[in-house]
Amino acid sequence: MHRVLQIPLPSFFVSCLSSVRFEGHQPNHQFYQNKKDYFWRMSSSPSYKQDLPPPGGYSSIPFKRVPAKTFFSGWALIGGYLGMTAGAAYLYFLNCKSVKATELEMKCASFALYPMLLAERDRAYLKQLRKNRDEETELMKNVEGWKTGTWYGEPIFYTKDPDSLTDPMYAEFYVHCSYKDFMTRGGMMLMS
Amino acid sequence: MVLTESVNLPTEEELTVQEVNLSGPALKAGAFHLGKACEFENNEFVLCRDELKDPRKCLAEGKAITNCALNFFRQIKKTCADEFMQYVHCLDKSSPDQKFEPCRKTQTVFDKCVKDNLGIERPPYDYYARVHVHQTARPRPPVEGPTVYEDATPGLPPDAPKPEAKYGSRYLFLW
Repeated sequence: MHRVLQIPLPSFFVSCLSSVRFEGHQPNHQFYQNKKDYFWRMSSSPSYKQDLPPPGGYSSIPFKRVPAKTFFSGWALIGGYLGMTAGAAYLYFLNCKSVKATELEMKCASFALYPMLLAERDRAYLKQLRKNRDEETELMKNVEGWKTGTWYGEPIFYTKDPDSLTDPMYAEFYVHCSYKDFMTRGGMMLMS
Repeated sequence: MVLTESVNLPTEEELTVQEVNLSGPALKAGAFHLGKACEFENNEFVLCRDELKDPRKCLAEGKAITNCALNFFRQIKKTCADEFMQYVHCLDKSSPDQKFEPCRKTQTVFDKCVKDNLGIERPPYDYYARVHVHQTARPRPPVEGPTVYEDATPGLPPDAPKPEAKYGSRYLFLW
């Protein structure tokens, strides 16, 4: 058990070190094979309990596949899908038909009113054209060489019949109106 | 403006007639019966506008339409005023764009009244979208032929010889 220190040291130092080392339980590597053995040797009441399977043995490991419950087969699913789609398509067709009929009815009401409204519009339009032409004549009466509807006698169209009615441009039609009316009409054109 | 003094425009007096002074819902409520009552005038006017493409030449037809529509609405006012106004209110208040669906009940009442008093049956919903044959005494406007230019290059005489191409023609799969 005694271990002699081979290092030459002063005598007081040797005694001190020796006492410390011998008081503690330093493992002797030649006797104790590992640290555990050393521990149990030192305990006062060593009791062992071997870890063993439960009585009757372990239960088997559940490694088998557990598939989900199937309510429909693949063919049934495809058939169901086709059936549902067919039913929905029929309902869609019915709805579409009714919507189209509604739109057509609205359109037909407009068609029935169209000639009357067009006749009214034509009269108002021709009235306004005459007003515009008179206004231009009145406005340019002091300008020498000015002829209404032309640029100092130079017409816009040469080969057209002089009596043919050419629709003026939008800005020309509103040229004598206020700017607000002009823009309002433009906005209405966009809205309608 | 583009209009010169040589363009004949009708005067204010020629263009001033009594217009149909009704609002949109009222016109819409009477639209189907109006179209049936004034069918001939409507077709005549639209045919005129389509053939001549000039609003100045169809003023008489337009006035006839307005007169017919006025007479129709006067008759409605005389006989079915209550039913008509009920229908108009329904159209006006039920939807933003005067749909016919919400007003089938009032429409039925109005239709019955018009049929009993004026003898006009409401045409089917797609009547005015169908093709109709219109019998008219209006002369057909002359068809304008192709423009003939005096200085155009004279073409080959009709009996000019047409020999085969001397060197054939190229042929690349299709042409």
